[in-house]
Amino acid sequence: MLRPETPEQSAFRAEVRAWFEAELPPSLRDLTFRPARELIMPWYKRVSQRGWLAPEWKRADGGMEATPVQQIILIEEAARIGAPDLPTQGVHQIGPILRRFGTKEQQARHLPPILAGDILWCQGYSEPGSGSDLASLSTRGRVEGDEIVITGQKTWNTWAHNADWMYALVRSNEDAPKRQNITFVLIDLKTPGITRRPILTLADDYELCEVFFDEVRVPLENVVGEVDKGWDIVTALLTNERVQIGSPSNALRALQRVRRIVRLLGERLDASGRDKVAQAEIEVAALTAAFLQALEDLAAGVQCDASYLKILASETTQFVLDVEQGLCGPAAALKSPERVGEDVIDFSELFLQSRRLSIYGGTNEIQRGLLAARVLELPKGR
Amino acid sequence: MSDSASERGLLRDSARRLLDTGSQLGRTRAARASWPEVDRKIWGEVCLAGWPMLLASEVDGGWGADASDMVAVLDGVADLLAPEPFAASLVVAPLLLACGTSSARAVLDDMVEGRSIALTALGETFPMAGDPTHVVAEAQWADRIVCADRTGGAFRLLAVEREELDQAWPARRTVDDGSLRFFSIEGVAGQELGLGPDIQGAFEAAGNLLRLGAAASLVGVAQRAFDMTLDYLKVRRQFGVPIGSFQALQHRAASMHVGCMAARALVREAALAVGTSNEGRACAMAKAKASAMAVGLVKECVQMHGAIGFTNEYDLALYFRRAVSLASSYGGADMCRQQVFDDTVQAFIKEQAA
Repeated sequence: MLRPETPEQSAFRAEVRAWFEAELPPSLRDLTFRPARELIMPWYKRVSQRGWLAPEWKRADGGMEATPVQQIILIEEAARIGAPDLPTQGVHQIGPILRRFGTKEQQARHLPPILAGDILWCQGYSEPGSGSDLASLSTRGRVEGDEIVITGQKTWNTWAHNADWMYALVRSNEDAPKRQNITFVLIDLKTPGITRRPILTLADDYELCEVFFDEVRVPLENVVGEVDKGWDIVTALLTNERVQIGSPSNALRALQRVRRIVRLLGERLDASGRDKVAQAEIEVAALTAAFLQALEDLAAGVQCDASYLKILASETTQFVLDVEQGLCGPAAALKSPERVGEDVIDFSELFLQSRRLSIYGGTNEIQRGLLAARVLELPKGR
Repeated sequence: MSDSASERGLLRDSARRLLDTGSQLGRTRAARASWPEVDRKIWGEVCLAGWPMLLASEVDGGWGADASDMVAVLDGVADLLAPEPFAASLVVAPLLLACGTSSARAVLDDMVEGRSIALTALGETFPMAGDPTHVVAEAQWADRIVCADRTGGAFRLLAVEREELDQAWPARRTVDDGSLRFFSIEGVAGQELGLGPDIQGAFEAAGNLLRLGAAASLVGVAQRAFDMTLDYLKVRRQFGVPIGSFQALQHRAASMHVGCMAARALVREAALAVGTSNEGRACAMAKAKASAMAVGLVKECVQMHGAIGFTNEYDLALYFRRAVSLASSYGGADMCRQQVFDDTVQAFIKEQAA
């Protein structure tokens, strides 16, 4: 953040920094891979109890109604100390959807455990045959009495093997036209008939999963919105709810790694390396400025465009990691991190993992298509 | 000065009313035809309206506008491609007022009353004959050049009359029909406006504001070129359909939009850092980003237009050349990145020590 802080903001930063220093166990710092659930959840709960897990949420929902600058301060300080990446699909994905589309009962039942860290959520959108063309999904959801019976397969489900619940899209009506036959449903993953299989990724971690459904019976009260109207929930612009996709959190984590390498290299960093480092600094500053302004626009009632933010945040992070790879020389290929004094330098882990940033949540190609159609109002694509 | 977006909008609109004479880009083309002669009619109105005092404090009789006001105005008028040195003139008043000398006051009075335009030259090294050490942009407008003299060890701010330079260092035409005057002050008398570290600080601040202003103008120029291109993508038909329906072009257009929006966000953020210890770094970041973005974007605009985009007659050429010229002025992207690196590493080391 380039702008100056007010005394209150500086005090908040000092408070956040001191708290992280005191509370974040050293074993959880500077990790690239997400620690196992039992290792990370105590920290998740501590952050939540401190009120900083969902800073942007309303106080009534358990948040702190943080200002845009406070949100940036939290993100910057988390990056600075190397705080681990928390499983926040509940906070950033299903939470906002339930707040906008859920019933009072659904909100009361599901929102508090998200904040408390008692329930972890995963997303169930993609299928083997339905990636970018999500509306072609074929997992069936047959309504029978007061239940919806689900059969089919979901895939690429982030952390599904560690999750308790899934929010998913299923095809609920064979006769209705495409997109008017999809239902948004909440599934307790302990329900009989569900099989989960972790998928080893290119980055050599088990971040993803495939999930099989065989006649899984879900009560209709777990449908969000109406049966057959789930597509509206996914496509309703949801720009306000999706603004967190533009968070500079990943980019700052990446930049922190670049800065450590720069400090290690010192005078050995050549002019070309310095130029790339400066570019990385500039791009992250631009992303931070863009995110801050999106939050400010939101506060002022101005809509922002999530596709723009998603493209910017993901590609900025990837760019910074390209720079990091370039600075490392042959060490760029090393699989495991290096401890140098107080610092941990990881050479390839985040770079490998970051491939997914431009794929998940709607590929950047899909985002560009959306942006061209909705924001630039270009003629229907071919 | 302005607390709200609507006040900034009013400021921008009043600048537009002055600079937009309803001839589309007619004045820009006329300036091209008459180079190096300039038509001072609109400039007289700009002075009469008091614009050169925009950034001067209200105590000094200025408007008390801040850097955020400045970038809003410059982003908002850049599409007019006005030939007048509007952006370059804004940083002069705060610099001259910081001198606190009667000589500086006299230069300012001449400027404000439209008698003699003073513009600021910055120092750099250039691949030019004669080893010039300074350059002033919009040189065909600059009756006086305010520049730094570091030859004696101490920092001195000088005003140099254009006549003192004309013989040895004539103004050179730029691709956008502006001009640059490269010069060195060896053997040039000039007039001392002030000296010492405070004046040096004010001079560096003026340089930062010039960069920031150019960054804002680059965003405005890029936005207009992009809007022209979007219109073209919607109306130009080939293979029986608008070319904007082709995914290859849609995706590139989306990338251009993202780049332009991000650069504008950075420029606005950098304006908030003016007056703080982050100022130099922030302005360099804004200029580096806006320069790289704008030049990349206008290249894409020309490509998407095809041959018509490569003609002088089509207005895109004016935006292309303006972007190229602005991008290299007051420190191009590479030079700004050097400063960003130096300042960032210092900041990082300081932070680690703390």
